[in-house]
Amino acid sequence: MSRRATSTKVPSSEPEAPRAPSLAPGPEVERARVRAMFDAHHQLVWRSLRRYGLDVEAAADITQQAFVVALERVADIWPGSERAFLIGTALRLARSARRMTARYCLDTQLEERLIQTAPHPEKSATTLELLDRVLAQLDDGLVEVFVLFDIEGMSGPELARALGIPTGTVASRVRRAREAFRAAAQRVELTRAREESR
Amino acid sequence: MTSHKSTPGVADAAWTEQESELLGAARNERMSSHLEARLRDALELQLGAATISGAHDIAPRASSTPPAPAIAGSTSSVLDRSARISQLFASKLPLWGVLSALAIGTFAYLGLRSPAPQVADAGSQAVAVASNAALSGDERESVLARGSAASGDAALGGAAHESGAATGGDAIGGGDVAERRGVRASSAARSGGALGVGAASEDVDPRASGAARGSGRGSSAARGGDSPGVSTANARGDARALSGTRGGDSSEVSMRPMRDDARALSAAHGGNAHAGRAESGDAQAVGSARAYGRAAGAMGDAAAPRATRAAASDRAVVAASDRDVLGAGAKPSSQTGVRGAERRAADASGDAALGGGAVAGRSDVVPSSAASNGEQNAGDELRMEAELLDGARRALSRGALQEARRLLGRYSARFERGVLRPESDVLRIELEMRTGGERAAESHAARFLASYPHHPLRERVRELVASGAQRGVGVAQ
Repeated sequence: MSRRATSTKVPSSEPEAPRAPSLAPGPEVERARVRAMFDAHHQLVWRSLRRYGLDVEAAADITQQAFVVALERVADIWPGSERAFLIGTALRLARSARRMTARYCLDTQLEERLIQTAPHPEKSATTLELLDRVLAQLDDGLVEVFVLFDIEGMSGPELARALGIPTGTVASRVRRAREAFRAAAQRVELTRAREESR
Repeated sequence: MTSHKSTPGVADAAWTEQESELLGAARNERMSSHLEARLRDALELQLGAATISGAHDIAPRASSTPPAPAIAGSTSSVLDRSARISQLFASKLPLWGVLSALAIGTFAYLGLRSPAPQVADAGSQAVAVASNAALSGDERESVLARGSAASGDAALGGAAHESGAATGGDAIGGGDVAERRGVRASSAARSGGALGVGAASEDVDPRASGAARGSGRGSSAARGGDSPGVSTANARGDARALSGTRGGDSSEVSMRPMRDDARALSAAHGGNAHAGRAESGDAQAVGSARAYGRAAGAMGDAAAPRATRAAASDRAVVAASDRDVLGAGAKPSSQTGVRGAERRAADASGDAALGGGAVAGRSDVVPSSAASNGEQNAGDELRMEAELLDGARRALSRGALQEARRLLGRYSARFERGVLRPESDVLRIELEMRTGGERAAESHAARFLASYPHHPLRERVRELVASGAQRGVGVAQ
């Protein structure tokens, strides 16, 4: 796998985040808005969580939770920031869920998840699995940025809002994430080639 | 390749063919239609529940609790206004969320010392004052109003209101309101929670559903037990589980159709409260609460019915641990509550249970030396019951019906005479309904209704059976 240089410039300034409306609209409007948010973004949220390392069910759970939070706080979500809000919420939930899973002894979902995430020997590695293998080698912070920026196409400012970090930090992480991704992809590709040649 | 035109200075990457293939595969991944349908259903359930809690226009049912004094204007509009104003304030001054939480805590404490009606009234006055942004004190000599003026936070109107409500003790309803409205939420709510987690609607509890309407999210569910009207308030209130927390006298809580929400919110806001039940004055509440950074399980014994407000000796076995807050934007909590401690809450009349920190944070809670192994064991058992049922509930909510059945089976086998038996019965009914066993569900429901003539979950059972009836199944009484 060849590697090509990429230039990533750091934006000079971070635009001021929009502020949420101060008074909430009526409940009907809010519900309609949440529905629209779901229609527009649920796949993206779920997909991003999958790349974050969650299995199908866990990603769905967190996606659902993110929309619950969105409904709770819909009045605080500035129009146009829905995607950033959902992604930011979902990632926070995912991080916490990881921690909690590690802590809880009695996690009734755990055994189920373990079963779900067990390897399927009969199934050959798909492109997605390869990708996840690659991403698994990146730091979480880089994975987030890489997935949202280079896979999902979110903009720097939007990503900055979602992750709660400056736009400049996003740009530098994008640069590092791309480098790390390429290096990891090469390693994985080499490993795979070695396995196939046996 | 995705373009980043909206990100000046960030160039598109030039990927190799293999890299592009990897990225393309990721972009094309879609959740299965089955999974999507499940999420959509859950969302609709959530939205429907929001409808219920937001438009509780049913008349409050008769309650054994004496009616609270009338508050000028509608309860709902007052609470709603205060919440909106608090939101307005918090959006402008982030620190006020924290300030209000601190003030709320003070009010909560002070509220405990005041006769309920007066405080409630003062609270409403404070709301009015705050609503008008007068913030200059209350015509009554209420510390609540003064405090409100002092802190200058409109949200305190709500808080004062709640602290008035604090008849039973906690008054962090303000925090709750703030939290619900996302008013710098976590800080306010969390601090508030530490001081005593109260239901927003507490003081208007006797008028129950009005409070739920007012708060829009039915936090009053918290009080479920002694205010039947409230039991219909579910939704987020439950999830926040202040109720279970309030323990001593109630139940309700997470046995609402909002399982999903409850789960989600419990994750997010922390409350999986399985309140126990109140029977002839004895209340037991069990909770597995992840309330604002704590996991708490508690058992409360209220010796007297809350309605009478008789002094009660409440024991709360609280197992709290420092769990991270999951709410969006929330910061991890470092509060540890009262880990494994047993505390006696004199004159708490039912504030025993959950909320760990809530109990711990109250000044009228003093450590008891009367802890016994038996009680500790009972607390462990109860917690285990709650965890099993919580697991079943979560499984149900995400459609893992076999998992739910397995967990309910485990519960039944292990806790034949469990404290949360009624709650497990309700989950069983729901499970049967969802797996096509309407007749069995109906039979279970009939048994439940006969066995627990005063249980707050009766309403829920009726709803479940009625929902089956709408699909062509008979209705149990």
